Amino acid sequence: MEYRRLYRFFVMAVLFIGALHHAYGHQQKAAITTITFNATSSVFEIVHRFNLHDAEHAVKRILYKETDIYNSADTQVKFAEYIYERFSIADEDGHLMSLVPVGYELDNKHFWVYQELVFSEDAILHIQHPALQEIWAEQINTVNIEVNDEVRTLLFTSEDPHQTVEIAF
Amino acid sequence: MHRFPKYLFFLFFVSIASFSGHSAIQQTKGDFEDKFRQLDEVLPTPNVYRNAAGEPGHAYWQQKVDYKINVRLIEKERRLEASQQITYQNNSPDTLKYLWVQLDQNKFRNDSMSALTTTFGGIGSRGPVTVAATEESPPQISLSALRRQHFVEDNVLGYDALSVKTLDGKVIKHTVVGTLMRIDLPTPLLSGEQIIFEIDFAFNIVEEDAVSARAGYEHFPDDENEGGNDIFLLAQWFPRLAAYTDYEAWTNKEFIGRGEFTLEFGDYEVEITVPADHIVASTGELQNADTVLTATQRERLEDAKDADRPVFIVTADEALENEKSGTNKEKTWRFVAENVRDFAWASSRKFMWDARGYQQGGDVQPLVMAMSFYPKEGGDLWKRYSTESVIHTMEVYSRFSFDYPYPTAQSVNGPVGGMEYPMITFNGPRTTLHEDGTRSYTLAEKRFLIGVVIHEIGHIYYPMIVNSDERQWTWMDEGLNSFLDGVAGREWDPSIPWGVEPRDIVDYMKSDIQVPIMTQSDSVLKLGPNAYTKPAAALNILRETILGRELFDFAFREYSQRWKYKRPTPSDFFRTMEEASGVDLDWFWRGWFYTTDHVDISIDRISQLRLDTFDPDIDLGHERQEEADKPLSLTVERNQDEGIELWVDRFPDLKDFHDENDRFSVTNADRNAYNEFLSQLKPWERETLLRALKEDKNYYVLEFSNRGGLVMPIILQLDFEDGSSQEMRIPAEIWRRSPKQVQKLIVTDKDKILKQVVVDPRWETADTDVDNNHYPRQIIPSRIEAFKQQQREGLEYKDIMHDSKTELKEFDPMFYEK
Repeated sequence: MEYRRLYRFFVMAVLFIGALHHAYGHQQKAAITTITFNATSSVFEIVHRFNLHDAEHAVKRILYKETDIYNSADTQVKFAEYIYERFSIADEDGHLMSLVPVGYELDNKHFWVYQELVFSEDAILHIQHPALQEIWAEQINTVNIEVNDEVRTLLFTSEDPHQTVEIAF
Repeated sequence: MHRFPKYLFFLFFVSIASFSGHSAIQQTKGDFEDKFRQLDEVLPTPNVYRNAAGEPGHAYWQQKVDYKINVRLIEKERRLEASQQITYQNNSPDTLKYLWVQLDQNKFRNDSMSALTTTFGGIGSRGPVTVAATEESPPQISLSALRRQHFVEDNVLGYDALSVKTLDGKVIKHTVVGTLMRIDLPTPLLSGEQIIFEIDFAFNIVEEDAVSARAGYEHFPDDENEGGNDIFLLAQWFPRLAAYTDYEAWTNKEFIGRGEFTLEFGDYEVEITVPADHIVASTGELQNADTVLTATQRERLEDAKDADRPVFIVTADEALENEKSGTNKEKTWRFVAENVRDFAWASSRKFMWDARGYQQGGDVQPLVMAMSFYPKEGGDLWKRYSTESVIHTMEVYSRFSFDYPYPTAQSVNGPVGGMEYPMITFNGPRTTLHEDGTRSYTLAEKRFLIGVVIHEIGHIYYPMIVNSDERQWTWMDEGLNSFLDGVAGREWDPSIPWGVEPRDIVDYMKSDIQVPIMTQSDSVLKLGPNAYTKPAAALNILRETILGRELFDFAFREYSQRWKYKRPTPSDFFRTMEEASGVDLDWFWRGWFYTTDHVDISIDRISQLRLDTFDPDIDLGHERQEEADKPLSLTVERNQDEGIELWVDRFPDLKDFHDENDRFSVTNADRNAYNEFLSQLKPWERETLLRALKEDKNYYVLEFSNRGGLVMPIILQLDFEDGSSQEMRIPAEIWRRSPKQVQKLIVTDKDKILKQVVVDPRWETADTDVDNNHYPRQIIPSRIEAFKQQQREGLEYKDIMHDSKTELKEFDPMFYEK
């Protein structure tokens, strides 16, 4: 008889808050991250871009109901910290690499979170980017990795929150 | 800049002796790609229904379906029970043996294709979240997913009573197929004939918050009324005839979730029975205000018609009072709507109601009542901006299309974030309740409200009137509508930065997970950037950069008017924009809508050419100067620094003719040769040469490469050494014979010496890499580097509305010890 693995059944403690918003054309439930090798400083620059309409509703789920990402510096810090915590890169052996938190900013449409990875060798990297997927199944995080004018795209869905990429200079 | 002084430039253009033919379908030798290949072989063949100009053809037809519906909302059971009489007019040339009807409520059944194909932790599902197991973590289900599961278990969903019969009560055979139903007609319906039949139906209304639908009820347990109150939003609620079309016959594709709807136009008479203390907002025009409204409410409605600002038909206080208790009595509201493709409504005792007449003038619909319905939770945000945004939308959209043709345009607050139906839209933003009982809203929520109202009211034009097929092509309504909501948003307040700028789409377009815009709605991987942002950015570029406003606006209006109350397909849009603008846009549709290319135009090199005149007095002088401009030999310079005296200087008696005259010295032999050359020129050759000599212009060759694949105009900013600047716009057709690299000669006046060139300086083409847009190259700081240089803080992020109510506190001066 086939052995069937019994998974632990885990309920996420995500509080359901108020109305679900299907803001067609406003909330996109999609984030885009660009990882670019900066040859001048020999670091990988990691730029996460979230639509503000996504972020403003996300923080109400992730943090607490009445928070306001536009208004509260504390909320902005916490959202950035949340991204620092969710996004990770591990080396070939699975050891987490140290990502330097650089900061965050809002412009009129987007919430940006910045990180750096001091690294400049050929490598196989394991990337995880499950941000916001625990609150919205349809959240898609796209990562463009740009090295030597070549763009490779990784798609992180709640079904596939892990991806592996080979970096060759 | 590189200088190539040695070449005569007379024969600068070399004609290309051969070019590949366009008759072959495939280029099977070499790697030439015809980015300008005409779309004829891709677009459907024009016919009598849709002609080659993108217009409805001379034999265009569409079906007409009229509905008479009696519906009762049973509030306590949250259930609808209804009967409807359908008149189906077969305007097609075909004989129909059966009809297909959409049963969208069946999507919520446990055995629906939508439910069965929702993947665990899957991409693109619309419901609450689940997360698949990984090596590190167990699978996860959110509380909201469990809530949905419980709701679906506890409630019978989908149509639980359904009967189809003739007018005299005979049962008509019908077969339910998922979210569709086939009705087998007792006798075939011939072209030009009509059939009238009845459908009775009932279903339990879904709780929107629990199942993520496009409609449903929202419960307010904290209201004073015992047991709380509900807001009911009703859409996709009655069995609707599927569209029968010339291009697809029955559009009977299962409703899975993403691909929305396509429907037939028709006239509606709907009687809606609800608790007597409810206010109903609905598609159509209210017919029995005398029965359902008070005399005061009717007076206010009359006053609202020519008011400057919205007038309350039901005030905030009245709504608050009304929601404190319920009733067992009922009232029936009667609405009539003509020539609409759908019918939706909302009902609640929580609604306040404001209205303002939009005097648009014209013959079609001089007066439109713009109205909003919202509970106290909408509050001041809605009072100020909802109805005003509705009117603003009509003003802007009508410029691009036609007069708003319906008597009402409404915005209703409820549990749906944003959804559109004829004459009525559902919009989600609300105020925030504070612990002290007051309500405020942030700038974010204000922008959200204005933005979503514009977007959803805009949908009344596209696709509710310009009736594109949403199930096949999301972009045809969402893309066009996002483009126009960007226009309207910027016209509300340019500092409110919605709208779709080309720069917003570059990250998506350079990624390799893009799918073409021309992809069926349920298959699109990333619906937001694919069906909303990218087509909207493309149209923005078409308007501002490629066609210009005059040509674009004329063509877009032509498209809207041609297809008003009709059913356009993508080819009708592409053809109309091209026909009406008079500009070949096949390359644009091909690049932006049919491929996943992106825009990345690089300026790789600029060479300066100089005219060799053959006049020795000029040319040899130039050459002497060039020699002098070369850097001095390092050894010679150091010798000079050390004071080493040249041998010939120490012994001047050794100098001869060659020491006094360098190799660039002009001799009469040179001059004779030049004069002989001149004498042999034909008169026009001599004239041309002498004029060029006199003008002494600058000749530059600019080399570009197309790294993204998408051909686009090359927009140049030419900066000169005298500080002046000039814009030059080269049409995309420059790429037609060499889509990968092109060179362009630019001639400037003698005093206009080129200092630098920038490609696309205003970021108007969605160029993904602006680093290669400068020549000479510039060091452009990365986003992170720029961020490190200057961290920004914006004052627009303060909740000044709430903070301004903060009381001023007095602080005792701090004691400092010396």
